[in-house]
Amino acid sequence: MTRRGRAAALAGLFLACGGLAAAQERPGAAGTIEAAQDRRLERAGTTRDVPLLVERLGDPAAAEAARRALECIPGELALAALRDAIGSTRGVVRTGVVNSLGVRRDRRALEAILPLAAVEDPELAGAAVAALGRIGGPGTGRLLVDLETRLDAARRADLGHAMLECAVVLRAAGDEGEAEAILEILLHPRFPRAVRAGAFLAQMEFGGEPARTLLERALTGGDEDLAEAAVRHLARPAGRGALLALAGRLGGLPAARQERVARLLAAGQLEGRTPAEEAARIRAALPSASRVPPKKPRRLLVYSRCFGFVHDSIPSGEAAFALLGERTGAWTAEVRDDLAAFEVESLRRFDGVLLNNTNNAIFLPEDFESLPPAEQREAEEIDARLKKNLLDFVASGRGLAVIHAGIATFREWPEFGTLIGARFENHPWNAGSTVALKVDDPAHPVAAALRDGAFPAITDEIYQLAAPYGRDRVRVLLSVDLARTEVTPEQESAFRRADRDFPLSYVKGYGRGRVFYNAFGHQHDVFWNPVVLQHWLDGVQFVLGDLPADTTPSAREAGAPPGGLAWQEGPSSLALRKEEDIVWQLVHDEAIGKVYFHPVALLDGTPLTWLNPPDHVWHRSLWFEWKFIDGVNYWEDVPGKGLTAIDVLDTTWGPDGSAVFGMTIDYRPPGGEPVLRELRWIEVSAPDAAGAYRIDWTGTFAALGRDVVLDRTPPADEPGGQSWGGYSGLSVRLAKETRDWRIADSEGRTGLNCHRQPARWIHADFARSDTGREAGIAILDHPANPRHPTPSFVVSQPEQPFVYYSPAPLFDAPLVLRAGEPLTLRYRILIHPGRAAPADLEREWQAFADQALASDSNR
Amino acid sequence: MRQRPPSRRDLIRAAAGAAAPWILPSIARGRGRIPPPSERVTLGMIGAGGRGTWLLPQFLALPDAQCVAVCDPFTDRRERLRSSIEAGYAERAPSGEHHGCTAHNDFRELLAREDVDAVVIATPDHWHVPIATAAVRAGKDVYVEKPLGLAVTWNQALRETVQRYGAVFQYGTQQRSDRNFRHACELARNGVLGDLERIEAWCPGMAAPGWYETTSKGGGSTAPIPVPDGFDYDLWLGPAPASPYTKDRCSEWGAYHVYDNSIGFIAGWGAHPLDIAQWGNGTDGEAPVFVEGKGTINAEGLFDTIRDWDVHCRYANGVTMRFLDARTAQDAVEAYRPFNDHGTTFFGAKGWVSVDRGGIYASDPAWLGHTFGPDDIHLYESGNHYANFVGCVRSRARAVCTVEAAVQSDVISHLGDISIRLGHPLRWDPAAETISGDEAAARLLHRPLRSPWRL
Repeated sequence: MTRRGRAAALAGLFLACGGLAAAQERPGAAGTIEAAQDRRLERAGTTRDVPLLVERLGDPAAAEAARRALECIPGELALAALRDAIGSTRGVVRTGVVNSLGVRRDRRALEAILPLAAVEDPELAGAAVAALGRIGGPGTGRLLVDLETRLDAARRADLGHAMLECAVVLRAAGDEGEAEAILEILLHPRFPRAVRAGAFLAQMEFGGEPARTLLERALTGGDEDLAEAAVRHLARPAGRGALLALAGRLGGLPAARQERVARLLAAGQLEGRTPAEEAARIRAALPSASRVPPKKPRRLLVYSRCFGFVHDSIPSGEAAFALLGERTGAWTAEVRDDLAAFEVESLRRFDGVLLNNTNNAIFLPEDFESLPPAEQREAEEIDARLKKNLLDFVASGRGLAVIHAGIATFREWPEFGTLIGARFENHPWNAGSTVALKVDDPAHPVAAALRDGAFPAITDEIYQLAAPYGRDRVRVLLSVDLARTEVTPEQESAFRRADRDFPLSYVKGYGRGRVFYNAFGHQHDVFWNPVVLQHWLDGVQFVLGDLPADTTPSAREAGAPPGGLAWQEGPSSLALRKEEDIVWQLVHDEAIGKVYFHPVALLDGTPLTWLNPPDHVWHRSLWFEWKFIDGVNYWEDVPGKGLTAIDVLDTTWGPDGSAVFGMTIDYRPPGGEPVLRELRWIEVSAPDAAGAYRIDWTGTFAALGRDVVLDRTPPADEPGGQSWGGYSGLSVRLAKETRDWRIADSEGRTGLNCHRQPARWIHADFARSDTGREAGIAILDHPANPRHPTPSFVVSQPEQPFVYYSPAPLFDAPLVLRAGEPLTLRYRILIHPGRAAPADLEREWQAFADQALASDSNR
Repeated sequence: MRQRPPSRRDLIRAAAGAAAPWILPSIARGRGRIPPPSERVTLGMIGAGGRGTWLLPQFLALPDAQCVAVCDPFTDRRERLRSSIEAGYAERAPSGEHHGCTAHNDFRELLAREDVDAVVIATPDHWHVPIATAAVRAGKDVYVEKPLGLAVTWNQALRETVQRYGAVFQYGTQQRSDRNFRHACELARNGVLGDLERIEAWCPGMAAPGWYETTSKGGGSTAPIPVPDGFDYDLWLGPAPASPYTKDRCSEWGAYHVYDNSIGFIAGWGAHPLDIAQWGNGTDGEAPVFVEGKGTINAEGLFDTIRDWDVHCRYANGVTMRFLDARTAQDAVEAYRPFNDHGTTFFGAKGWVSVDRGGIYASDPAWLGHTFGPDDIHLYESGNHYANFVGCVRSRARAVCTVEAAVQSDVISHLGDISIRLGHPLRWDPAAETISGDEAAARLLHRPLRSPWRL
C-alpha cells in the first residue's frame, strides 16, 4: 500500500465517522440489483478503495456489494471499516457485516458483536453468535457459555454450533481447559443431536483415559444420541483403532450397539491408507543406500508401546524403520511392543533402540490402576528394572533414537528427561500445521539431508519442549524458523519458552552412548517424505555408532536472520537485535499513550539517543508530539495534559530486518472526547551493509467532527512569546554520551544558524564520548508536507549536553485543521555510522522525495 | 431431561437392537429384501431441476431408502418431482397408492424435519456448499452433486463441517462406482503401467456439441425480464450476488455457465475426469503444485464462465496432467483411441490405460483382464453410487467419494479457472492449501456470500 493510499483510506474512514447516517432499512436483498462492476472490488479492490466502499455502505442500493468487497480486501483498514459498519448499517446488511467479521476472524470486533447475540432479530442474533464462535479466543468460550444461560431454547441450536466452533478454535490455540469445559456442556441432552455428536467427536480427539471412558460410557449407556456419536467416532480414521479393538468383544456391548458396531465392521471400507499402500509409498521414497556402511551387522529395536493418545501413524513408523534398514542394509529392525523387549537378555542383542511414537508410562501394564496392590508393587518393580536397563543400555555406548511423541514417554521420570535432553510441553502447532524450517547446523553430518534448502517447511504436529531442554544441553540441527512462520495469537499464547526456540531435530551424548531426537511423525505423509527418511537413516546410523558426529551442545542460540539479526518482541515493543545488542526498539506504551523509538543505535549496539533526560523528562529519544491541541498541552507530563490512546493496527516484520507499524492515535483533552485522530505508519528498513537504516514516518491527522487548532509556545517575536518557543513535531534528542556535534541543514547552514530556518533536511553527526564511534541522524522533510521546507528547531547546549533538533511545522504559525480535510506529514529519518557529507544527504533526500512522489503518481 | 420425542433414527436403532445377536444388514450381505419403512433411510431431495429429476429414479430404486420430501424454489418443478416420487412408490405399494412426500420452497423447512436422515443436493452450483453445511449442522448426511463450491474457501468450510459432525458425505461423481474406472485406477496405482508419468482428462466444455449447443449460441440473454409467478427468485439467488432475472439465468442448463452462480463446466463436468485422475494418481488428498491454464471466455452475453480450456498441471510426485475441454482434446485423444467427449487416460512408463463411460482401452489389452494380488492396492469397491451412500448412512462408514477427495478435485478446476482469468500460471501449496506467492490470485479462492447467508 502506498502512503497516499493509506491516507486516502483514512480520510474515507473519517468521513464515515461523521457522515454515515443510519439511513438504510432493508437494502441488499431482492429488489436491489447489483451492478457487475461491484464484483470487481471483491476480486481486486485494495485498501485505497476502502473510502469509496465506506461511502457506498451509506447507500442502500450499494451497501450489500460494498460490504462483500470489504470482506475481501486484505488489511486492517477494511476490517476497521467493517467494525464501524456494525453501528452504521441496519437490517440484512448489518447481518452481513457481522458475517464478514466472522469470516475474517476479527478479534477486535468481539466487543461490538457480543451485544448483538441477544437482539430480537433472529437472523442478526444467529450471525452474531456464529461470528463469536468463529473468532474464538481466550474468554470467548465463557461469554458463549454465559449467553447460553440467558437465551431461550429456540436459539440453543445456533449457540451450540457456535460453542462447538469456539471449542475447536480454542483447542487449536492450545487452550484445552476452556475447550474441554465447553465440550462437556455441549454433551448435555438439551443441545441438538448434531451438536452433541460434534462435541463428542471433539472430546475423542483429546485422547487418553477420559476419552476411552467416555467412549465406553456412550457405547454401553442408555443415551441414544451419545451411542450414535460413538459410532460416528468409530467410523472415522481416528476411531479405527478403537473399532478394531471392539471387534473382539462385541458380546460385551448391549445388543442394540452390537449391531451398529458390527455393521460398521462389516462395511469393511475403513477409509485411510491400507498398510500395503503406505508401505508402497514408503518404498518409493526410500534412499537407495546409507551414507556410511555399518561397521558390523546392526540390530535396531523399533518399539511402539503406547498409552494415552495413540498416534495412528505408529504402523507407518514401524514400516518406515523396518524398510529403511532392509533397503540400505544399515540395520535389521525388530518391531516390538512387549515388556520383555527391555529385559537385559533381550536388549543385549540390540545396538540401538528407536522409540516410535511411544507415549506415557510404557513399562507399566495398561490396567495398572485397577490392579490389586500386590500386583501393582510387582509391576512397579518391573518398571524400575526396565528403566534402569534402558539407561544402562545407552550409557554403555549404544544408541537411542526417538521420534515425535516418544519425547512424551515416562512423563513422571525425570531421568528420562536427562537421557533425551528435554520433556514434552505442548504442541502450539496442531496436527496439519505448516512451519518453516531452519537448519541450525548445516555442516553437521546428521543434518546432511536437510542442507541447501532441501527442506524449507514441514506440515505436521509441532511440539514445544520443556526443561531440561536448552541449547546448552543438546546440539540442535533443525528448528522452527519463526521469522518465516506465521504465528497466530492463539499459538503465541501457547508459547511458554522465553527463548522462542522450537527444536525439531537434535543429537546429544549420554554416558558413552548417543541420542537422536526428531520431532516429526504425526502426519502419515512424513513417513514417505524422502528428506525425512534420509534424515532418519542418518540419525539412526549415528546412534548405532556408524556415522560419527559431534554432540557438543550448540551452547548458543542458533543464528538468526542475516548478519546475526534477531527480533525481540515485547508486550508493547518490537526490537531488532544483533546478537545481544539492540539496534533499535519501537515502544508503543499504551499506558502512557506514547510512541517512541528507544534506543536508536548502531549495529554494534551503540545507543545514539536519550530517553527521559532529567532536564526534560518528556523527551523520548526519537518521537513525535504536538505541543497544544485546542490549547491543551500534549507535550509535557503536566497536570491537565492531553491524553492519547494508541491502537496498534498492524505490526509486521520481515526476515531481512525490516518492519512496518501501523497505528491509530486518538488525542483527547482530559475528561473529553477525542478531537483528533492520527493514522501513523512507521516503516523501518533493514540495515544496509554499512549498518545504516531508514525510518519512514507518516502521520495523517484528521479533526474529529469539528476544526481543531494545533499550536505551540509562541516564539520570542510574538506576543507572549518565549525564547524557547516554536517547537513541536518529530524530534530527536541525542544521547548523553555524545560529543563533537556537527549540525547542518540542506541549505548549507550549520549549528544554531539552522534554527528557525526552512530546510529540506536537518542533520547532526557526532562521536560517542566513551568509544569515539561516530554516527549521525538526519531528518528529511517531504516536499508534499504542507509547510515544506519546514523551519528547523535546534538546541545545542554542549555542557548538559542538550542537543535536540526537529522540523517544526508550527514554528512560524499555528495551524487550523479543518474537519474533513486531513493533514499528512511525512519524514524519513536516516541513521548512519560515521560522518556524512552534505552531498550524500542531498542524494538521500532526493531519493526520498522521488520515491514517495512516484507512489503517488501510481494512484 | 430429553424433550424430544423419539425420532425415526431412534426407531431404526431400536428395531435393529431387537435382532440380537447381531445380524448383518441386507446391504452388507448383498442380498435384497425390502426393509419395513421404519428401517429405511429417509431422504430429502433438494433441487428438482434437470439433475434432481435425473437422480430421483436412482434413489427410488433403492429398497432401503425412502424419499420423503422435495424442495425447490420453482413451484412447478417441486410439484413435478413430488408427483414422480408418489407415482414411483405407488407402483410397489400393495394399495397402489402412496402419499407422504412433502414439497417445500425453502430448504431450511426441510432441514428442520427431524424425520429426514439425509439429503440429496442437486441445486444450482452456488447453493451446493451452503445447503450442505446447513444440512450437516442439522444432523443430516449429504449426497452433494458436483461441482463442489463456488470458491475454494467454501469447500474447505464444508470439509471441516463434515469432519466435525461426523456426517456421511458422498460426492456426485458416480464414475467411482463403475468397475471400469476403478480398474483403470488400480492399474495406475499398482504400477502395472510402469511408473505413472502423465494423465489426460477431458470433458465437454460450454460449446461442446450435443446437448450443450443451446448455451453456446448467442451466449445467453442479458435482458432483464419479470420473474415468473411461482418462482422464489430471491431464494434461488441465495448467497449469490443479486443479479437481474433473464430468460437464461435460471434455466436448467443456463445456470451452469454464469460466473455469479458457477465457474462453469471446467468444474461441473470437469469434476468427473478429474476425480478419476486424482483417484488413479493416488492424490485424493492433494491438488497439483503447478497449474497453467489457457482458455476463452465469451466476449458478450450472459454466459461468462470458461468456454474452452487447456490446463497443464504438475503434481508434487512429478506426474503431469493435461485437462481439456472435449473439442480441444479431440485430436490428441483420437491419436490413440476412439474419441468420446469425456475420459481419463493414465500414461505410464510401459503404456497407457484410458477410460470413459463407454469403455476402457489400454495399450496392452491384457491389462484389461489383470487380476490384482493381496499385496496390491485395492481401491474402494462400490457397485452403485447411490446405494453406497444409503448403505453408509446406515453403517456410518465412509462413502466412496469423500469430501476430502471432492475438495481437491474441485481445487484443480478452480486453479484452472483462476489461471485462465489472470493469464498466468499458479503455484499451489498443497500443505497450506493456498496459492503461494501470488496474493492477487490467492484472493480469488474466496467469495463472500450475499447477506444474510453464511457458511
